[in-house]
Amino acid sequence: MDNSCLIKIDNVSKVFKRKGMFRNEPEVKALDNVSLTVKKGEVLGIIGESGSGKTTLGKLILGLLKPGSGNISFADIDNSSSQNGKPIVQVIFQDPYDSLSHMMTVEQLVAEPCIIQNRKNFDRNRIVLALESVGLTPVESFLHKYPHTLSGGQRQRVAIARAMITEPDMIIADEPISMLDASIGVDILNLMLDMKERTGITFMFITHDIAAAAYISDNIAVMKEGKIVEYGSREQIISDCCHEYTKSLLLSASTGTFNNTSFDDK
Amino acid sequence: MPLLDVKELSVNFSTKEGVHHVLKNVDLNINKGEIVGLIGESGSGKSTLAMTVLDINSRNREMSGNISFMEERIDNLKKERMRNIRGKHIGSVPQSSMNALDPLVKIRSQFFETIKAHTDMSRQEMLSLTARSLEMVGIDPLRMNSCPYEFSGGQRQRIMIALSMLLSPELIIADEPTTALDATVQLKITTLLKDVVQQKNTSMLVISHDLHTISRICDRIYIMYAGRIVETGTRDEILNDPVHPYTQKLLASRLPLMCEPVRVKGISGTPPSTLKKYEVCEFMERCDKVSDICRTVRPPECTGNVKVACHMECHLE
Repeated sequence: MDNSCLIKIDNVSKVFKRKGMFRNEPEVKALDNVSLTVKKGEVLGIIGESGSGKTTLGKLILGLLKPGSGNISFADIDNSSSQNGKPIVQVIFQDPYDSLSHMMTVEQLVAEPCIIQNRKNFDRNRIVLALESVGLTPVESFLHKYPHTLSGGQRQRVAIARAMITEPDMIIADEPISMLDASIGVDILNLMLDMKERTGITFMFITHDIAAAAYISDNIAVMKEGKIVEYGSREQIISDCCHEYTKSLLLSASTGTFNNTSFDDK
Repeated sequence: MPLLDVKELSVNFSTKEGVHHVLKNVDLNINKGEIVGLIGESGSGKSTLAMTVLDINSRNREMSGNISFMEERIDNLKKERMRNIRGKHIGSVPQSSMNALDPLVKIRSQFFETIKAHTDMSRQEMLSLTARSLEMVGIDPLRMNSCPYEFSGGQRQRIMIALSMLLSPELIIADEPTTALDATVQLKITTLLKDVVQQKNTSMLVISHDLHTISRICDRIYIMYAGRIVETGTRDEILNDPVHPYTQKLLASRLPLMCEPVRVKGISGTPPSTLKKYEVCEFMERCDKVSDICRTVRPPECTGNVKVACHMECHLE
């Protein structure tokens, strides 16, 4: 594996067997021979409709699911000697209203990954720095708040601080802005871009919104029915895509622009 | 005379934390056959407006102002009369309507429930009405015996639209009809809403936080911020020539679909609290165009002929 590559996914398939109570239901092939490499320091966008297997792919990389066949290998890391338990992958979930415990304060929420990593010792300054870096300032006023008192955008920032604090090599962001207002979603995307520039972290950005993926990603993979139907740089996908599905996605995104008034006439 | 006419509507909710001022002096009207968009961020009070019109949030509510529907005051009607209007004359597509259907009750039974509540149709008539309305939204009428959990999110959304249209109401209130759907499905749903309104010759109030998705089907748009209407106009006026700084920022936060990396600015700051009573413009803390007059005088209210609630507008003239 060459140096620029962080994660290599090789012919991975995942089949979900549904066990009915009385009859055997058909199998669902969530991923079908997917191969993909994630390069160091890039933002990789994964676009696809619901049920195309994009979240399954994220869960496989996180190790929340085991692949049915195929390999997922991480660059130059053997799991046996991983230094001080530094994690490779962290995650930001879709719904900030459900992904943060309602019983914990912001401080406890952000400290939790540190406590798990370092077995109970953690540096309070790191929490302050992490919250500062996601723009939750003044930090003191946020430390003792509970998630239900925060807005959706602020909650998603706490989720990002939680993911960033253990300094992972890569963050998987699973639809981080689909639950947020458009104007707040842009702020979250800008925050992710800033973090990438500052720390060189790798992002995998899972979304159904091609405009958001095009805004943030260096490379884009388009998924449909468990397969990657198209992969390329942002420029290639947007100006020069080949697959019908990508074209239909682009079309549905661009008819939304307000300059196009011809929509009414159709 | 407009179909729905909301005048000087203010709504407060008293809670343990204090009084939440959710709607402040809202004027809104919908004419026959019109699709009107109501756009605002989370917590701006757009859903509260819809619920107040339908009178389904009366707990701890204090309200003042007028709501007339088909030339009848409906803001203090008896519960029974209001129940007759809901469903028959005003249809509603609730927020997260994908979850609004009972997942374990057959589609057919849920449709029959609505029909039985308002009319005395025979079983045969009910069946054909259900089949017709499902067909209209592109769902195979043969599937009316399925349960909602067997449908996808977009299909459930379409069933919900069919259910709200069932008795051909004069007005439909659709609360966030496209949120949480895929981009391609969003396009289909908005097109469907437009078609349905044209076919049945009804009016519609569409509520959303996404100006761009919804604007393509609207005739007129109201922009709401912190419980106030801050700008109103026809779709072209709002999209091509926005005046209020908030509308301008909303439009600018659209993600462009371009090859070159560009930076788009969101709207910084946080939405104002509903607990506080503002003596000046609510948007001042997040506005880049604050002038001295903003700090002392309230901007004009967006009522009657005033279309923009901002001092800027007055300076221009």
